[in-house]
Amino acid sequence: MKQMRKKHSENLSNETEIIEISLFDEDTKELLESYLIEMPNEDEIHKSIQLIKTYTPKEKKGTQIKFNYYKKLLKNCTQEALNFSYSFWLTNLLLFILGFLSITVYEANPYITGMVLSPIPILIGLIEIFRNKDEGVIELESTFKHNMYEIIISKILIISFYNVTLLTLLAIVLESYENINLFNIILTWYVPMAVNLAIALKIAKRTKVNVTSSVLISLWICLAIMLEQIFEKTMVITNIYKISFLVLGIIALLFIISEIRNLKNTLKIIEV
Amino acid sequence: MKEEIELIKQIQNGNEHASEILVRQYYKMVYSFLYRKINNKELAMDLTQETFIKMLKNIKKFDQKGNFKNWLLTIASNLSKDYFKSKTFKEETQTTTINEEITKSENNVLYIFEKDEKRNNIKEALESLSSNQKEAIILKYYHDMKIKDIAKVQDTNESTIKTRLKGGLEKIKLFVNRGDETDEKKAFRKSK
Repeated sequence: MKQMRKKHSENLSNETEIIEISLFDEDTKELLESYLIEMPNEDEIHKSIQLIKTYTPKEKKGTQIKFNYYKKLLKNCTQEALNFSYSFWLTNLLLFILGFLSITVYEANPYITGMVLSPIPILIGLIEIFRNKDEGVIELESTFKHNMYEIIISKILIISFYNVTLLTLLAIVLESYENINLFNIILTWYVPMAVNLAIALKIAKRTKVNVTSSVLISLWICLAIMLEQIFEKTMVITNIYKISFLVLGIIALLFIISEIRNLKNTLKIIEV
Repeated sequence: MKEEIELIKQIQNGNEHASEILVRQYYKMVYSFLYRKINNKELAMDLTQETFIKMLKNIKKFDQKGNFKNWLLTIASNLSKDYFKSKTFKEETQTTTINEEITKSENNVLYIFEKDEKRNNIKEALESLSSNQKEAIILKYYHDMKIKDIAKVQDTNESTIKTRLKGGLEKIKLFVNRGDETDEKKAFRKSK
């Protein structure tokens, strides 16, 4: 039955092709060609078009465009989060547990512990952020619904959000255990994270992300050991520290924003 | 094609300049389609304008995978059908028929010799067809459309379009042959 139908449709398309070709004989063509059209002049066409174009749909308002953009970004984030490898989520969770145990069980200095551990998830996350850049599938991804820039921004947002949430949770839990100041925690934990993200973004665009991530993690651990030895267990957050961290945090944030903007142009070049 | 999709996107976002470019690109095509269907310059211009206005009002509904030219011609075709159904058309037809008959009876001989014979022949030949046959032939010959696309414009199946084309062309050929016979008779009379 199917074959008969297939044959019938083949016959029909063959017949259509024959009709398409042999439809008009020379006499008919000659007659049809003789149909001249009284065209309106350029001025008449111009006037008509000027009127027509006023019916163009009205431009969307700026707030609506922004709302749609953020809506799309949120949707991207959910999709990208599902694509992250299990090892990423697991490593971050382990670091969270390690931080918690170090402070509560081994009585490590909460500020230094947080300061040392907080940037590491971001540096590990870099591998997830730029994975497709190194695997050379940017061209492929850019042909899909979302462009590469949007994908990377979504990944940065997921990783930052995930880590900030973990750190905040840890800070709240620790506040009830130890006598620590939440504002100081925010300064000493989030600022190193922001500084590391800024440096990582700068370097990762130009080098292999695995290398960037490993080098930065190693450097950070060395720096952390040095800090640990300088302050030992007695780090006290003085006003000078607070101001220095605040300034550093603001600079890092500005740098991250600028890097993300530059990223848009860099990726455009790669996609082209 | 890519440029066309980009223009459509721009229009959907409210870019008037993109509208101007797209309309200019298709203006003459739509106008000539409507002119051949209606055979009246002023009316063809009005309907062309209406076609583009309707296109802009519905541009957000346009499926970018679809064929824009076919979509535009479908709008134009529907508008011309609406016009033929309208009261204005019926009133105008009555007036034209009376005027034509008066003119014909007054200047019958003069009329035959003065008119651009070929041009009027095809106009008359097309006028003798049904509206759908005429439209199918216009779309096939002047706009080089495939039978399946004409079927989409006329919202019917391919077989119907084939029948309309065959029937329409047979009528035109009959008209041409009749014209030839008249020419032969004229020549015969002259030789006498």
